[in-house]
Amino acid sequence: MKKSFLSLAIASTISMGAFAGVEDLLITEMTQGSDASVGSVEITNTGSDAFTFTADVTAFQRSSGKYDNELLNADAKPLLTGETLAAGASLVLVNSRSTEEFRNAIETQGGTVVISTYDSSNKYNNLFMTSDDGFFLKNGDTVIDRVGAVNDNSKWAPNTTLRRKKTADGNNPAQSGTFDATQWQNILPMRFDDLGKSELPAADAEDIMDIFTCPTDKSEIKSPSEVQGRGFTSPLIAEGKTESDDKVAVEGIISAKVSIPNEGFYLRNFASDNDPETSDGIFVSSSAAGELKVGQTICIGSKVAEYQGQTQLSADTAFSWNVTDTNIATMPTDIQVLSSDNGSFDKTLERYEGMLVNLPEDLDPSTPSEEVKEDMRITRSFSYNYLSSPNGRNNMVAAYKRPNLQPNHLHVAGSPESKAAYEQNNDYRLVIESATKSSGTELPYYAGFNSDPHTNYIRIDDSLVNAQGVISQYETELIPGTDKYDQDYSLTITNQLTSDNFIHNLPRTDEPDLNDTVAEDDFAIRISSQNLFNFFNSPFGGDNNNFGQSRGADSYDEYINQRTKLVEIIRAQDADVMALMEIENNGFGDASAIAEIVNQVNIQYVDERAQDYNGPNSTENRYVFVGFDNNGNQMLDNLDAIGSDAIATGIIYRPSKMSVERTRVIPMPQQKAPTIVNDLGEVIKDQNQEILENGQNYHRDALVVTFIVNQTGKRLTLAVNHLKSKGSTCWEEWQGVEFGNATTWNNRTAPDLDYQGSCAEFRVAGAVHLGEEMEDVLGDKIILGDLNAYGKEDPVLVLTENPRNKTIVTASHTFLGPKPQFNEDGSAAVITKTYGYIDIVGEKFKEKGKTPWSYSFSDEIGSLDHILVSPSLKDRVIDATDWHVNAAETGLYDYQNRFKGTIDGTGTHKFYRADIYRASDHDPALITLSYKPGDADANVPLNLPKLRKLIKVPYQIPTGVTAQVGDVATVNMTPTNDEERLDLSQMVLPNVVVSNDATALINFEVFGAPSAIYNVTVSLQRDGQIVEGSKQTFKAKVSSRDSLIADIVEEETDNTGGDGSAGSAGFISLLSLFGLAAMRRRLRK
Amino acid sequence: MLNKSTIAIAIVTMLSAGSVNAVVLDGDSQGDHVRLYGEVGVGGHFDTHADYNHDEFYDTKGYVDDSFATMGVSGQREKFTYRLELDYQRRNWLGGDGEFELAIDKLYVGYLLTDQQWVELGLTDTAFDDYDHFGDFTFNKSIETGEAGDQENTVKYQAKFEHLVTGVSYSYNGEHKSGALQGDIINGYVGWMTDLLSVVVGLETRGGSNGVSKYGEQEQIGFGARLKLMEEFSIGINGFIEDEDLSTRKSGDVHLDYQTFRNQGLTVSAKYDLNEHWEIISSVNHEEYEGWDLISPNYDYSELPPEYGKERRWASLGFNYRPARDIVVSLEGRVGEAPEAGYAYVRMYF
Repeated sequence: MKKSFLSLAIASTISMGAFAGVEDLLITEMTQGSDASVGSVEITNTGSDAFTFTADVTAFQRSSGKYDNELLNADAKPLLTGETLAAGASLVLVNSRSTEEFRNAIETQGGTVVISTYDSSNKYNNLFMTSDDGFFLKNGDTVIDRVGAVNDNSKWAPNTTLRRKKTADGNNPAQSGTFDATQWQNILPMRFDDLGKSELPAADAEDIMDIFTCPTDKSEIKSPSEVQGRGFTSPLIAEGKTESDDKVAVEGIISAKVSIPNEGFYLRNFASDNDPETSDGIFVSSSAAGELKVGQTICIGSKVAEYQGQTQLSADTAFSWNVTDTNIATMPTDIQVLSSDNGSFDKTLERYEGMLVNLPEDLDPSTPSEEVKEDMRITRSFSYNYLSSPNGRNNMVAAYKRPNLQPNHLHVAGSPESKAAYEQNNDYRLVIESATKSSGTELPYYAGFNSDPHTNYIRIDDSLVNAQGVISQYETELIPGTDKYDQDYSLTITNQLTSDNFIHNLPRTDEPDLNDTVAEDDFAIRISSQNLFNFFNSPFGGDNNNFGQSRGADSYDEYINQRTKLVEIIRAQDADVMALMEIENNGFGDASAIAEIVNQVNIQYVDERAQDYNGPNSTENRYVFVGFDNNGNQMLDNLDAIGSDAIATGIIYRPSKMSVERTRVIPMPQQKAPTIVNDLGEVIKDQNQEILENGQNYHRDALVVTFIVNQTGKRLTLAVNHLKSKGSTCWEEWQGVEFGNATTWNNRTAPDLDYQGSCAEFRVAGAVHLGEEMEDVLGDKIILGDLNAYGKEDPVLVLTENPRNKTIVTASHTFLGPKPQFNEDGSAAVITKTYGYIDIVGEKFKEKGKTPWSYSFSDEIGSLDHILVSPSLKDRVIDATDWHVNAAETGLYDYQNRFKGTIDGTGTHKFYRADIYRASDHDPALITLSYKPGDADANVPLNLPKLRKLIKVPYQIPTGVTAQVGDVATVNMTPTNDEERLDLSQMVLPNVVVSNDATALINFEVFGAPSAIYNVTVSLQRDGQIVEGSKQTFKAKVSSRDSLIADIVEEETDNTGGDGSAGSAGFISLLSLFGLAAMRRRLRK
Repeated sequence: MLNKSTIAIAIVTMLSAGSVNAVVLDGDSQGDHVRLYGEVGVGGHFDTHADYNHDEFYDTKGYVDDSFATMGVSGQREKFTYRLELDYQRRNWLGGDGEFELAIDKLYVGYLLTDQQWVELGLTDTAFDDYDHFGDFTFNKSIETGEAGDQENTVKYQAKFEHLVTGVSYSYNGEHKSGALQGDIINGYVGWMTDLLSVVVGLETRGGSNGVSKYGEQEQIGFGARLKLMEEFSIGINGFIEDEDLSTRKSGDVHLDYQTFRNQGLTVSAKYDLNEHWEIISSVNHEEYEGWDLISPNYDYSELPPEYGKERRWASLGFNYRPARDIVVSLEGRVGEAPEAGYAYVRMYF
């Protein structure tokens, strides 16, 4: 025997079981429309024996004429395996989300329902028939029967039922691997009354098509405005229903044809009804409008529906309308706010729902337009909207009059004002859509942006004027903790826009608008806070972090682009000390991320000559980072990572301006709460199969550095923070949520009643700890960084003030190491103490009549990045600002290559430029402080660093003493510790002759003083005599500047450990101990 | 330097045994003399308990040896006195290694101002050290009063009148037994002694190390009392309250951020003399250290909290057996949150 015969025989033996009766299976009916839950396929056993499906007989959906998707059960096995179909019986495959009612009807009609249970770990294995899909059965590798043409990717079966017809001789048709439409009875709209019944229609059964004819009696025809009516819903829909009982005939002119937010066209009245309360337009949802043109007259028969807040008509097929081929243009109507809208912008937009409109430069002419023009402002730059299918796409959001401010930014979280602000944001929102879906890298309505996005940029707070389009309404975001969605109005732009349509109210600037003008003799210190947007260098030659993560650049090209932009933005801020967030937590060695940033920034500062010291490229501008020897091994290296996250905070500063006195890490509280479980005690998981909330949550540890401002004895302590984000939950979020027996909690976000996002209580715990720890710090203090809290949210209230005495509660189960932070049983604490810091950016902006913001999330802006100063600093503050260089811009400009279209030969996308814009996702916050040389805290010597052996000793002439021209100022310096036997032979102590009567400050240029602490005496002499009251004595510390190589700072004693002498307490006070009540008052806390 | 517990023992022994015996090497009727004295003791602590060890033992195990020997020479010539004492002792405290070491325990010269008053200069007990366990009859240590113990560079004045006892000492640059600087230490006591009731109150203050060690300033009050209810039965009470500043942070070698910790302890003890050979001693004890308190503001949260919480309580029952003069056999058992289950010791004096 030939081998091939043998193998054939064996193959048939093995697959024998599958052959028995499989030729009797026939696809006998199919339903599909736009709603997948009513899609179904009926399979009938036309044989005389029962048939049990083996794994060889498999069911496939032919999706969109392109993809063969096998249907699987929850165990990822073929869906039909094991099903038994009796002779002459039918089974009906239905979608997993089909209703109970739908399934019961099929069973009542004699069918066996097979639910497509699908395997959630794989994609596309549910039965999901949506007008453009087909279906086939396979036996082994052979397609045995099919419905739907293999490569038809059109919506070939809208709202359709197909029933297999008998052959002309009255027999059942044969299986066929190709689709022959003539074998099927076509029913439109679809019917379900035959599903499950195995009897086939006769060969001559006619198609049942619902064809609309426009009534001849004009009185039976409605206009769009009559359908819309005056309210939010159509008068043609009965109370409590979402659809009219009957179809109505509506006639109008097509004003626009778009596919966003929903596919279809817009009809308008032939003539306006001149009632501003009613819209003169309506949307017709249809995927069958391919042949229709704008300007044509349409008479349509449709039920009126309220769908996602929008009154609309719908048509599955072109049979639903009659076309008159007119070409009548539609002039867009200016949107105008009326007093009858009662301040509701939703009400305004409802009056234009379905209409072609224009956004004028002033939507409310009733207000004095010379003063304020109410226009539409961009409140979310062009970016992905994070909605689920089919609404997920890139678009923009505008808001009436102003960008949407996060409700808690100006109003105490949870207050009625905050809730009102939230409602107003919802009310003022207008989603800006394109007529066709954007690829994410171009704006279909703005060719100038597409060709030159760097010149034709769009920013948050831009006014959008004279954009034309149609107003729709649809469901957008899921409201946290509910099953409900926000409903928002949208404008689908239909005209081409230019830069004239976008008015920059906050145009790009290349440096922050920050005043650092000081009084004569004074100097300014500039401080800033910048989030570095996950700067990771470990994949590109840097030290590894201990957490095995890289959240930054995905490629070397991206890394260079990211670093370039960050270097530019750091230089542009020109800060003397800078707090950094989101930098890789890979320690403080030479190859750490912070070292890399500092080295790159310093490259530009090359001018060494003294005459260039105030120039932009002076070496005086060089930075060094503050190193923390976190593991105490006396080395700064990659093992000094701080805290438990892959990102950390950092501080860089200019040694020319300040010197480090002490450094410290404040470990922040951790939450160690129980894992969230259901009523049975089972751990609940989320849609990604990860534990919903394991109760373990962390902040980044705070870095605290005390500087002495050079030429002064003023301490300035910076605490740099990055509190737990709002994005992922803490234990608190799930308290009060009823889980029942659920083990998964899919796509359900936690309730957020006060809009603080997740973990507000945990951030309070962090703020309390920080406030407490900072209380022991002497001198001026600044808490800065990304607090992940808006201006009036609980953590900021704790650190500043709580004027309305809001009840602020911490998280539960927070620990400092093994120590419970508040109560031993882990319960939460109510915080009544506040720490009195001043939100200085907010305060300065208030003086300027502006609102600060540093971050854009969704379509709301607000400040997460704060500079909170101790009251002692307030009088030194010159200015403070947010610099809108990042958050106002679209993320297209950032360094990342993903979703940016073509990458050119330099590894870069077309939106990238080596500039400052969108270097990060957060705006920097900046502050300037004023100091006078010679200012000092009590018991702090002036810090006088040497530069080439030269120091300047400041002499503030005391008030009450007036210098006169010709007076001679003298300085004398003697080391405090004469045991050091310093060589003072080189020291030059100059006399200075006063040349100006207004002199208030004299700087002695002292040369050659060795590093030491000196007693300094300065005075004015006139005619050889010391001017009365002019003599000043103080201590000064002469030292080398802090090195440009980060070093470990050994702290000096803080004088809290006694002075070694028991005599000070004295035996007399000791004797007073005899009375126990006189025991020494507890010193601290 | 001498382990404080053994000092306590020595004092208890002295007071309970009535007198210290010594070998008189030389002496005359004027009172001038040279004496050799000493002690050899063998024994230790049984079943020490890791969960309850505060800083008592260098290690917790079945038996922690605490054997001890001391030998000293003391003398007097006219009004001048001197003393040199050598100890051979175990380094038996937390952070020690349990090995023997030889140390000079006392090295001073003194002067007798009157028969009731004298001064000492050198390495000696600070004043309060003599009475810090006055109301504690136990042979083993119970609640430890954290006074200064022996110090170098000490000037001490003491007086003992018929009923009144008093003393005061000043130590320059005092040190913890570990050698860490504590700053100048002044302490003193005043007491009233009668056959029926005796009461002593002690006070101490120190200047702190100013960043050199973890020890900052400290103030302490201690008290002790004994009441002889019957000829054979006495009860005692001993306690202290201390506010001690300790460093909560260290940068490099510098100790920083001293915070005040309040510590207090109380012992109530009783002694019953069965006969001339046997006595039974019992105590109940309570002590609390702020550093143990998990939710005190200054708790060092880099460490796990102690098993016993913010306070320790235990009780003891033991006996002393004196088979002959200058020999003491001690046995003690403890219940409660005690760092050891039992104690056994044999001592001989010469």
